[in-house]
Amino acid sequence: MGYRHLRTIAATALLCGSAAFAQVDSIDQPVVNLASGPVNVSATFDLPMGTGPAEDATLSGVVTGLAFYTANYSAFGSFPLPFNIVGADPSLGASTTTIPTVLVPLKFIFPNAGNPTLDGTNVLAATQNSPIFLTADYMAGSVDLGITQYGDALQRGEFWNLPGFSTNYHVLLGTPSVGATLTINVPAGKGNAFALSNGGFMGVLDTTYFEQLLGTLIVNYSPNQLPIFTTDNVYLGANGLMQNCCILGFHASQAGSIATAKTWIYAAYAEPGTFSGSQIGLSFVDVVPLSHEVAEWLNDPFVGGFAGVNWIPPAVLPGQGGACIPNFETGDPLEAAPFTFAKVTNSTTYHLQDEVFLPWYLQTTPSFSVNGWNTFQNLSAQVPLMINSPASIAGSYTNTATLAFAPVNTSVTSDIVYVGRGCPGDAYLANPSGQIVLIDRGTCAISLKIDAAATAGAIGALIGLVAPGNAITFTYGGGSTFVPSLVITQATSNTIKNALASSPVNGTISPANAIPTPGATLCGPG
Amino acid sequence: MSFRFASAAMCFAGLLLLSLPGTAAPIAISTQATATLVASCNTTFTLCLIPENIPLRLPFTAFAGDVVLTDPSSSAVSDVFRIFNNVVNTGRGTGLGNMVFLYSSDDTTLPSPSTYSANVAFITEDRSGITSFLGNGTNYLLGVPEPQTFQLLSLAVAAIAVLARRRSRPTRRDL
Repeated sequence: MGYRHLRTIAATALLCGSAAFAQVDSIDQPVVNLASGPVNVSATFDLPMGTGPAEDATLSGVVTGLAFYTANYSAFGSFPLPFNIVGADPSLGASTTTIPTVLVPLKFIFPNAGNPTLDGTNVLAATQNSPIFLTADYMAGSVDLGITQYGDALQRGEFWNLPGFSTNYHVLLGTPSVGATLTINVPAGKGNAFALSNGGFMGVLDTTYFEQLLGTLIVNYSPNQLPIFTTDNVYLGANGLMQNCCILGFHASQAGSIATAKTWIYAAYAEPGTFSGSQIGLSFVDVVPLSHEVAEWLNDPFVGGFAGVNWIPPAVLPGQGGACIPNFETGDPLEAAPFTFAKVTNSTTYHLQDEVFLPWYLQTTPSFSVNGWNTFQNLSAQVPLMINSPASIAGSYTNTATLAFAPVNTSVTSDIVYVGRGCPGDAYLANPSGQIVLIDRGTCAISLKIDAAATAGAIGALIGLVAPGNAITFTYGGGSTFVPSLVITQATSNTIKNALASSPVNGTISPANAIPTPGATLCGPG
Repeated sequence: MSFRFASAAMCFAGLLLLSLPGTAAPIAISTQATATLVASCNTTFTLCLIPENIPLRLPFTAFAGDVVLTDPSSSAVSDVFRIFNNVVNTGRGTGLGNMVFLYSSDDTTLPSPSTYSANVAFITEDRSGITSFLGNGTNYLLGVPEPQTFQLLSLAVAAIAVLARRRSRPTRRDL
């Protein structure tokens, strides 16, 4: 079987994710001029499937394999497709699967001038203390998925309404053991370090070189373990060049029998200030790459051999130039730009990626996932603004956009007050306390406006655009106190303002009103 | 296909083809076929030539599905280009495959619309008879002359050249 075309497809998908990163300067070669400003790169995940190394011959059949189950789920409502998914079969009720996990820090000494070093050891504690391993409370609208790990909450949400599912179903990563730091002197031509404007560094390693490196390291681990190879701001790209950057992580497996195949993850810890420019959320930062990979590994662990791949009706990846995907990767449809959300563990705010559920791919109706949602946190769903009164303007206003830093994760209903521009220090035109505030866009970051309003007691916020057009979302620009918020069109904003001239306006922002993310669009032939 | 033989050369080749046995029924394609012709594609697989009514194997794995060509005048279905899901079957004609067939209403019974893939694409047939379909990075030229046609056309062109040369050559009588 020729895999070339699939490789091309995957590559196309990879190149279509977009992000830009901030103020990169080279130390040696290649030269990237700091004065030229941010460098645009294609930020993405994953490698071509079906390309895993062979299993260890001496281990085959004599070791405990990864804990997974195989079950059929139907595409188009009637066509059964087999899936291999980590954990126990959720249709069989309560169970807890715990995967032994090993964090393996990788330290890279780059061949550039001064031999800059990026040591994964430096991000071990941050990774261990992240929601990947520690617990946080995960809500899906009004449904409490539990206080648990990110991956477990995802799997619980995915199968929440599956017949036989138990709320005592769990798939957990074990408290990670820490492997010895592996120090690698990067050969010339296989990687480069680049200086960032914030004083830090980032690294780019040749993808093939890194793949082969991990291929030599996985002999140290067992099929039932999950080794996570951790780097500190070190990414992948052909020949270690900036123009080919950045793969932020991948999950892989050996080819051969899935009963004994080893699986593993590489994920960069993304240092703040490295990536910027995403349209949604906080872009790729801290454990977003690891969350992406853990979610995908849970749902499609055996991508190294065609026999183990979880095939889905090939689907178009939204926002990626029409690129298609043929296998069940939960993160890829929401990586461009990344739909991310925040959780606090160990008193630190971490960022995680939203993921699609299996019914999104299979066009399952009704969905067996929580709330019938197509994604874990429903971040790509559209939340309308409901105007309750006066009757003359009451109704659902659907041309809205959500803000990842101020998600509509709880329902708020109150009178709406117009407060003006609403930048920090601005005098409000009305008292925001206990109200949903309507704020004009402009002058300062949207997140700062919402932070200021929330601090002043607002319980919800509407950002009114000041020019015609559809509602658009905004990136985070500072602030820490947020309330459920929506961006609304100029027309909707004017409707509210005009009504306020003669009567109070009452409205609701609620996740219960969310219009679910539509199912996947099938990839066309060719 | 209604607009196939636009040029004189193509018309000539078409006349030659009349002596070849036709195909009257849909051709069953074996997903296990190993002796199937390989489609003519460029080295980067960005261009593939697909003649009608010949089972072909692509030299790569593609996304399966149907492309339905409609007549530009009548909007009736004139051809169906099918990429079979013989590698991975994910239902309703979707998945991955490398076996392809271009059904033409001129020579075969077209697949029933009830069998169209869930991701079916509809395009209008080009009046030249050769229709370009761009699918996931590959430009499929649908309805190109089949390989035998090329060979026959080459023979015909060679024969014409020889005849023309003999006619233009001075004869003994001319001397």
